[in-house]
Amino acid sequence: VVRATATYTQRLATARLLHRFNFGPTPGQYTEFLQRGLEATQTAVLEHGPVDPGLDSVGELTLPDLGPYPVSGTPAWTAFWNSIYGGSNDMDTWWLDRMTLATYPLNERMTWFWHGHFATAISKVVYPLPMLVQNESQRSLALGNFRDLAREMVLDGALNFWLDNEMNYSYSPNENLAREFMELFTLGVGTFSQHDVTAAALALTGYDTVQWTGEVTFDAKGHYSDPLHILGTTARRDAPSFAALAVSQHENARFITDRMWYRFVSSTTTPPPDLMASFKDRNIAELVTALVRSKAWTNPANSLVKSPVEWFVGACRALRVRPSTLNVTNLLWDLSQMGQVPFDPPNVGGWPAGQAWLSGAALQYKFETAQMIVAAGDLSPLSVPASQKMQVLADWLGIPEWSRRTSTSLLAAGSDSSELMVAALCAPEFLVSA
Amino acid sequence: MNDCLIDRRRFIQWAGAGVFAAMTTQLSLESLASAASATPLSAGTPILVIVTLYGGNDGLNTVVPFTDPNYHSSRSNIALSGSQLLSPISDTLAFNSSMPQINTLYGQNKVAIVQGVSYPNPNLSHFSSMSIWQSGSLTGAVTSGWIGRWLDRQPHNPFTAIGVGSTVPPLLVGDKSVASMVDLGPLWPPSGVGSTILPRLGNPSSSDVALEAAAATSISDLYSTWCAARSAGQHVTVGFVYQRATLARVDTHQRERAHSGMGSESELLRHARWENWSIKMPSWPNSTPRLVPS
Repeated sequence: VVRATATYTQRLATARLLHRFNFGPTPGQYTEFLQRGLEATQTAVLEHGPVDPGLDSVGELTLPDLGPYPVSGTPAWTAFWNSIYGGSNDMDTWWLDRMTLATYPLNERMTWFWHGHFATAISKVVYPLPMLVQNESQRSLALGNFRDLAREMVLDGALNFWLDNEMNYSYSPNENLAREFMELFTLGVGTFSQHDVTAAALALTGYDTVQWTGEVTFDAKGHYSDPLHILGTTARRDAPSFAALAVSQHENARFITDRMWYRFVSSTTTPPPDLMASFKDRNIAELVTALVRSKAWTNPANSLVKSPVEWFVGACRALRVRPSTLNVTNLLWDLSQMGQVPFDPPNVGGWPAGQAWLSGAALQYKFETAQMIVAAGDLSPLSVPASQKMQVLADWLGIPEWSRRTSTSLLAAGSDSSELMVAALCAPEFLVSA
Repeated sequence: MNDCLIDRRRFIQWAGAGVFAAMTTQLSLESLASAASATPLSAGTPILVIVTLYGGNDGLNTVVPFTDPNYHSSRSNIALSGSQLLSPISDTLAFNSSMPQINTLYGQNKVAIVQGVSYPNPNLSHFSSMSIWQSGSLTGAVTSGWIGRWLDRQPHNPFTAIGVGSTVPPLLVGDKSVASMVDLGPLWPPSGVGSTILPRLGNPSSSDVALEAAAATSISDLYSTWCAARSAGQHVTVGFVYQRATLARVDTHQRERAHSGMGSESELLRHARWENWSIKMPSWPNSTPRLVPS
């Protein structure tokens, strides 16, 4: 029935919305949404709220305060690093579980977006606790007001440590946080001058970070308190007022709209000029709503490559596999070899996009991972006559249409459902959101 | 491309032993280099090896203009002199004292230096600079990489340019062609589906959008790489190549060059990023690749 009524364009738009805003469909969800129509799909993928029954079984994650580094070579040293590694792994799988099990995944998807936007890496922060604190801040404001999020982030311990702000003194400024806050987090390159960077760095003096907890403290004596000329206005500035100033700039609406488009729609096309108007109040939910309800989803040009985590979570959602039940060591190793482990972006610019993810090197780990997921998944829906298998797979995984190449390849798997599913998860149509 | 099919018996061996069982039949970059050495490029074929070290480098304290009064006056607190420098390489320049190996290679005419690489009116953005460096374009209008654009003019061959690492750097992405990527760790034949489906999934399809076609090419390139590595019949000693290095044209000589330019393994590991799963890194620099018995 669905196949008779849904056009290719409807299948395309529905698949895109599910994959890009909800980490992909759970079993049966794609056909259900095709029946309900595009507008209902848009409403459904936007659903979010404080209560998500899918997350009941995940619970809160608590991590200990591990304190400063113990003396090298002692038993305490070994225990310390075991706690660092263990906490880091727990945090990774905890978040992957949330992405996979959420009934309304938009909030986790937006948390994932902000994690890549305010990209902070545990490779330098070392301690998982401040990374978790940052993650919870981003989650609680993921669809809130960007002013609040920017204020939280400029005072975030993991971000301050990552960008050296604990080494930013008025007598010896470190410009790292000031520059990246404007260039990468709020305004974009070319919208501010080196003078703005120098002055903003002074506004960010007086803050110190406790590396193991992420607590940021303020010492007025270490703060530069004279008026500063930043972005065309002169005033006394501290970190929150500098963040507010940056967010108040007209360029901020354009920049965040562009970044959202880049990650959700296409890394090669550009947003329509009127989209940024939906961000005039810096309300993130309004911008996401405008994006979901835009005409982008029927434009064939707006294809996107799934990042490794998005690909992985999509596969787990489809096969109802809980990430933390997999072999975690192997899973995290595979993700690292695909180039994307949560909490460890390559640099402050965040994850790459598009073609960067399509490497043969990464693909061999996708095959390994797909086998791991499929071995844990329920494949009973594939117990149908051979003539129906490809359609069942497309409807299950949210694929608008298999190419002739993929259909003939997959059917070569014969009656082995595991092989068929592994190949489907590694097919170009599932690696890419067409 | 179907001449490298895994036979059924071998597939069962791999699949039966579990997901990571393929580790026991792993191939490696060394296998690939061995295969290349069996059919070497003709003598004198130019080979370009690019090693990209992301991050800031203080050029003036690397190759130090120690006689320049401006150098000393403008950075009085960090200027190097005396024992902080190696013997001068010219009337005005000397290497930082932490670089004796490069200094030796320079004395042997094996190193050249380009100073002051930048662009007019730099905006001090790390990311703009990296983009310019990889695209070779000052305007931002060109998004392809300069190696990628060269590849666009070559017939497709996954071994014309090979990158090492997980993600494809912009440098290696052309408008039509992309370099193939190999992993630093073992190459292992994908089990199960690899036997019958993988080579077919790498075929192009007329209904592919550009990114799907690129995904298919990556599948095909992985398969070719694995087939080439598997064809290796001997073991040669080759180098340890830093992650994120970018290599063009695989052959043994190139590996040796990469090795000689990179210093010892322990030094490389110090540069490597801290990663909590690094304990799982296979100790492949010294391992003998185990080849699939034919």
